[in-house]
Amino acid sequence: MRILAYTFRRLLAAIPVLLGVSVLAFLISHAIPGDPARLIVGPKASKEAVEAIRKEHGLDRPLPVQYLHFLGGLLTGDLGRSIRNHRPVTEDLADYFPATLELTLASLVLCLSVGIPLGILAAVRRNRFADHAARVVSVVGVSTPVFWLGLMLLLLFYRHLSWLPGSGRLDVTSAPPAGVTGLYVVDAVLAGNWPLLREAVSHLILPAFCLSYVYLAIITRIVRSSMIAVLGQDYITTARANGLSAGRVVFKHAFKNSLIPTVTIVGLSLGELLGGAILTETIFAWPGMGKYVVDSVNALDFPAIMGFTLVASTAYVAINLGVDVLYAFLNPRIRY
Amino acid sequence: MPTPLLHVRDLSVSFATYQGRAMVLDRASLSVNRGEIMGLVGETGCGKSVLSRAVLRIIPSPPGRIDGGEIVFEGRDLLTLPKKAMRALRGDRISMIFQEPMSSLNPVYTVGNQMREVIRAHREVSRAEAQAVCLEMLEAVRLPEPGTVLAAYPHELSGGMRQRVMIAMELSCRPALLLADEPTTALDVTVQGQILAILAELSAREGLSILLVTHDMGVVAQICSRVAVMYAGQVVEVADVESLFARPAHPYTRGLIASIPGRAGEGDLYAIPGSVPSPIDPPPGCRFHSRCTQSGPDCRRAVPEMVLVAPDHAVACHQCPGGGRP
Repeated sequence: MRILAYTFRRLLAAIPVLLGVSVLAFLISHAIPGDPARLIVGPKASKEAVEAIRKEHGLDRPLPVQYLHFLGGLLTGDLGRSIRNHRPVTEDLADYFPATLELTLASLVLCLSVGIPLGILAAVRRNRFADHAARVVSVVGVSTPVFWLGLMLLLLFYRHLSWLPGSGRLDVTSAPPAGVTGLYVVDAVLAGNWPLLREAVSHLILPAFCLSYVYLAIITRIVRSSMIAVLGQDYITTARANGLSAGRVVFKHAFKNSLIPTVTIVGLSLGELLGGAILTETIFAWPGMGKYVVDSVNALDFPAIMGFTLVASTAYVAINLGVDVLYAFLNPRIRY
Repeated sequence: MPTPLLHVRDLSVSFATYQGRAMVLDRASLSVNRGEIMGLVGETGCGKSVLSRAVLRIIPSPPGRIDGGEIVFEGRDLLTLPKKAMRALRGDRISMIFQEPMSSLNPVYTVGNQMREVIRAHREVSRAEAQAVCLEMLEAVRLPEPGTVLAAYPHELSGGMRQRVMIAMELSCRPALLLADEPTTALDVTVQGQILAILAELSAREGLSILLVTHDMGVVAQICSRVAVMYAGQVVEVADVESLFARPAHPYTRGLIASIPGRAGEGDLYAIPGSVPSPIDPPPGCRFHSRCTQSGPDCRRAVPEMVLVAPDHAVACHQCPGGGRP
């Protein structure tokens, strides 16, 4: 019950945080020199044409008025229209956010399902072959630039081996599954469309691996070091002295304790991943938010930038809250 | 003489270090009889904790390694026992409690969870039956409100309570031998007395043998019936507690007893001169000779053997009457 009250308090506290983020994002994006209206109509257009566009998007009004207008819209769930393509920003986000979310979640699954076991193995078999192998995997991971890794993956698995598709979320000829969540993998399962599921998964593998590799490497190292620290604790000696099996000692007594630092890193990584995997999305032509926000910034598309910022910061706040709640479950010494 | 419950003979243990292999135990021998509390004393680093951990074979390896000797418990040599059989003994026939009650319990599980786990690792019992044993054990160590204690996390208990929980947990399978590695060192004096009283009572009531590792001669005098004195990885004197305090034979034991505060008189604190030799390249002969006021030429040349100087009183010293050479 206390955890529910805590969650509620944290959600309330998120409101000023998000307001602050929106003010900052608004000021910074408007401080960028350049005029979106001029970008739209081109350098040769008349002053009147520019003014007309400015008026249409409310850019002629003072900044505070523009901000309040934005806030007013926000309360009704309206993030304004994109200056660039005239579509409501909410519609754009609804298109692009699920793609990024799907890619992020797939990367997270990869990170956790490979990184955690690899870290545990490295800690338990410290300074032996498995540890050295895990070290090579993670050093390569943290030191490989994403763009290079992406290109190499494409070269090998798409061009030479033709095992996996190289771009997009589905083949160009396929229609997306009926949208419930916007995550094609989930939607395909919900629709029972197995060939489409196969297709969506095969499209996910390369970008998800590319995106996850750095984080996988970091998580492996964190799990390894926190596991080693925990395995040296007195209560591990107690557990062994009590005749518990090696499996119970590692997976029951050590693992839960070592998860606390791991959860912190996973939370931070997840926030970063959601914030837009610009390089990965560009390399694999993944129609996600990363590419969307870069295009928006280039066009000084203020409503789009604000919309993205709010989504990303809300995700951050939510993930941090999730991490804090998880702490309380993992560590009984933490009480809120 | 009845056969001892535990007989450690010529046990050698070494650890790999960057400076070389450290011989932490060098042919150490001792025995623990059924139902007795045997003290194992010596200063920090003399190998007494390593010896108690070697009995359970929980020395981290690497870097540790048992180089030789035998550990006979209830007629079986533990060093040749298969891993699985050894695991079955731990926490069941032989249990161990440690110095730091603060960190010996897992902070993320309740006391009940951890106690039941030990019982169910060794006995085919239901959760409820295990729970009943837990409650009974917590009462045996005189913890008030055992039900509350079982539901508590370790950080919600005091140091003394945690050490009682440890004792209750370790005795829940009715072991024959309890290895107690400085169980009272981290506790304040009043709590220390209570814990020792509980150990003495359980030993007397259940016929439990205890190997009590300590550096505190006061604790030894309080509850032990026999004592082994260790110095630099070797057992140098074994005697019943009265003989040891009344007629200490080894110069090191005499130094230890003289170092007990309040014994030297006039408020002076006596300290044995010099320091413990390095286990990496130990001196030849008797390891104590460089600090010994009575050492002779033999002491530098030959390692003294354990010799009986009285019934149930053995010493390894060239200078003791009848001591030294076999």
